[in-house]
Amino acid sequence: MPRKTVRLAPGPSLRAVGEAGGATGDDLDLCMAAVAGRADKAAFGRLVQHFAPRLIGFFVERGARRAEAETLTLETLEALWREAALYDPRRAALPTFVFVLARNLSLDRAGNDLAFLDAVGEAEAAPGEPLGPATAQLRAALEGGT
Amino acid sequence: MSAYHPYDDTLARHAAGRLAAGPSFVVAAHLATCRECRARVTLFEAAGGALLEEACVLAPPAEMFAATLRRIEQAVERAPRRLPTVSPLEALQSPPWRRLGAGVQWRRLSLPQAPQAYLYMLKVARHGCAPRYAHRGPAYIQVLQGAFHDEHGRYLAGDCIEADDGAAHRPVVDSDVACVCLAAFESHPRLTGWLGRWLQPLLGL
Repeated sequence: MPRKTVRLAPGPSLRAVGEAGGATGDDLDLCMAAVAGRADKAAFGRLVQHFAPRLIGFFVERGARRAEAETLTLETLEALWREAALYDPRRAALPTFVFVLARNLSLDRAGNDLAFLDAVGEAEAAPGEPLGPATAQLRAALEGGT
Repeated sequence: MSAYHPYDDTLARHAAGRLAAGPSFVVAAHLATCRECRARVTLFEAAGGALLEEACVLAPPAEMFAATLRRIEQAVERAPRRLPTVSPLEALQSPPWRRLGAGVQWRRLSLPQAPQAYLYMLKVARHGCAPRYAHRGPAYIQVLQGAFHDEHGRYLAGDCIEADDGAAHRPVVDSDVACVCLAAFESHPRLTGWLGRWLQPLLGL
């Protein structure tokens, strides 16, 4: 597992989560490598433990009903298993990768299967660019209709 | 280096998965050649990751992990999604060009999961005029080859133009090669002028 030497995209830090949630970003990155490399179900279990509650919360906050949020979470986790080999921690942080998988699900539903793991493909944001304004803009976009 | 880009809010909606299929496809074609916009989309996606990480934590049902494993086992035969290599256009089947008057050809593209999207390619011979057309709702146009101008500006390969509601356009190609554009509309584009009104029903455009 290569060390994170380059982080091109500013990503949320998972280190803070480590103190509260028992898993650091590096731990989860190791889990991703184990899932991609040897279909390690125990490692996948740790990823599910971290992301399932957040995904459910994320979908509920965007207006999904609880049952719907759980289904979307299942589908996102399935995509996480299937696409694990595409994850490259040097290009995007893991929550970003999971967000893109969840977003692409909604694109599938809206009928756009061709879009696009571009976040994962290439990250070229200026290093250290503050996320704040982008977060407000993205939140507004998520809450607008299609 | 493009001079015209999608609006920043359009890039945010693209990153959020809240742009309709046709416009989203045009934006993806733009991203294939525009580093600057790719960087914006990447930033919005990182913001999405941050929102996910900050989301309220709701305990999943006890059987969530088992249910996920069952899904995975049922779906093992599904191959991983292939990344688009150069442009999302490569992943689409292109129907043959159809003629629309002298020097103008068009085809409607069909997105596998959104066949109803108003997504077209238009090819206009050099020094040709595209038919005058109007549209309701915004239009998204990516210049793939050549150049054209209209009453608002001049657009080169790599440029993406977002035209607002209701605009009527008379694009004129001024490159030495044919101009090829990808265009998405949120409603049916209407040809205007006597020739266009006459041609439209015949062509099923």
